[in-house]
Amino acid sequence: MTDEMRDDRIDREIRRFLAFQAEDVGGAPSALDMTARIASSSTRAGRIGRGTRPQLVWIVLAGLLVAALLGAIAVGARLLREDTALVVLPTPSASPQMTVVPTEPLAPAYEAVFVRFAEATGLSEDIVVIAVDAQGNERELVQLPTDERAGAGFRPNLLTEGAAFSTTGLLAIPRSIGSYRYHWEIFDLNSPNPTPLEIAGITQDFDHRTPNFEGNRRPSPFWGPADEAAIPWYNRGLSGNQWHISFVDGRSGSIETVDVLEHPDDASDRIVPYWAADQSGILMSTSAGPRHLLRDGRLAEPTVEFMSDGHSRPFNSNGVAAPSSDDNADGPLGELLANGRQISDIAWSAAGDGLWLALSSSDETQVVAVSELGGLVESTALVFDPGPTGAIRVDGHLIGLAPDDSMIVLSSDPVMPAEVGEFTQRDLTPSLLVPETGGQFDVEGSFAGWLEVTP
Amino acid sequence: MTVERVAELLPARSDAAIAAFVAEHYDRLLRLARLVCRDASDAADAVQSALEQAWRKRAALNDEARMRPWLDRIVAREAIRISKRRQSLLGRLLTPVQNVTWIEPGDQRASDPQTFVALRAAFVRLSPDQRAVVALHLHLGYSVAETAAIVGAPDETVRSRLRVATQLLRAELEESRP
Repeated sequence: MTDEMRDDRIDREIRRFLAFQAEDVGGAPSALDMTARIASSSTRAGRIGRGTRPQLVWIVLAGLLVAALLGAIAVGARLLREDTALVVLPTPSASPQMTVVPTEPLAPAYEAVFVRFAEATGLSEDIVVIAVDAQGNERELVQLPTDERAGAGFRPNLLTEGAAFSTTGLLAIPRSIGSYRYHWEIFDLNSPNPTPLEIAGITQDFDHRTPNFEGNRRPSPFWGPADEAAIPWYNRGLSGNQWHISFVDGRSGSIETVDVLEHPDDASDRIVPYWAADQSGILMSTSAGPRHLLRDGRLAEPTVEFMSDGHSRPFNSNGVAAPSSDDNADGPLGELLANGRQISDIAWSAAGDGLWLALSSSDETQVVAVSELGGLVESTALVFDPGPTGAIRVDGHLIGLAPDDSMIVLSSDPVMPAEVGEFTQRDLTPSLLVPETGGQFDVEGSFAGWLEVTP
Repeated sequence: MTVERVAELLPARSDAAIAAFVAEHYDRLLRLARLVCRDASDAADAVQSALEQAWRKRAALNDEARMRPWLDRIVAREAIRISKRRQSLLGRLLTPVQNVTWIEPGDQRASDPQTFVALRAAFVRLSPDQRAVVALHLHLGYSVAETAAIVGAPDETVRSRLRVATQLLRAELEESRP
């Protein structure tokens, strides 16, 4: 028997098994029962409850009891804010009436926030904002209004890719306003019914949008202290693109715009998604080194610390770029390189004294590993199958790092061989990695930022 | 049960329309969800959720010919979502042990019980994403491109998932041979 005949026979057996397995639906409701459930749900607002499983009743009751207890404790401690859809960490405030007892502060926990389209309904699609925790559990934060937000006629997820989310619950997202043009709107997801706050004065072409600060892609908004966003944008001029940075108050929508005179349309001059800790401006990476772009448009030597907004972290708080593998052949990275590993992306760790590395191997096992060099050494791996395309390896890109390094969002892009003109295909499904547990989860949608939640 | 029979049992016109809608699609959707989910209860939940969504939004679908792939898409994604939730640590803690219907070698339902035991063991080990593409491509007969559109992943990702899944199933099958 030839291999081909054997494969055919095996495939037939697999198909027979699938048909058999698909029929194994004992215990599922009948069509009539299902009709009754759906008819029931269609007559009342909201979602219908699923078929109840008796075994779950006790668990649900116990869960409700625990939730009630936790709720009472939380209310007693005045930790809950009124009329909020999200529970975020409250801003600490001094209270002279309180006796301060020194305690170990609770470390914030984070959830990765993604924006994606809900199920398609013809040409109109709703946008859903979801948060994913370290166990890979998804929860819907909000579903945003539909209609023209879908950008009908263009690439389906065009408008979700530029979305940027602040740790305090503000979402900046582009809205289509006509042929290949859009403007920015901000939603406060702490509100039960968020309404768009339109940012005046910025209108962009679609090619401005920039997912996740990968490689040389152009940046979209990034959030800084006090719920302020910096929005880089440009308009086209006779002598080239004219770049601007707008500093936008995410609560009021007030905007200050400065021109960026000498920059930054090439890889050597980059707007970096970091804010100065004192809100005096943002960080730029230039061929002359890191620069502090002030609110009046002047460039200065950086003398303050800069804070990453939780996307990739190629610079530390002093504006120092992470070493490249080219610069480090004799350093700690040299051993990895000598073992035939390709280093596809490097970022600083949150503490600034270590490095996150996205590695890829060029052998047939095709593993993307993420490791930290420096203090703790953690690693997790994402197995990649090159598929029939003949990709020679996969490049991992660090799209986002949680402010405490507890989670990483990674894209894994197949690299095609040189004979077809080596290029990287972008995989649109990002993976959420949890180094401490080794968990890895594929998440549909575009990464937008991190939500700070009470532990 | 026929469409007419279901409709007879429900008095209101809108309910009859729902009944016809469910009767036309339910069996196929339940089988698809069953392949993605690990048990029939989750599969039924996925189908219910999908049919609710579809019923609410059906007016937006102008082309009746697109109804089947549209429904399959909603069900497949819902089934993947539910399966992933079950696989999470929290999901595993909260989900009671299922009543497993295992195929014993003497099970007369299977033409080759040993093969089916091996395949079933391997199939359960696939990820929900892999089970979905296997179900859509190998069971329902969608092309790779159509499968990619249904699950919302690039073609190459779907090919990759199919390749890994079928390799695993084949390997398990080969090992089960005496």
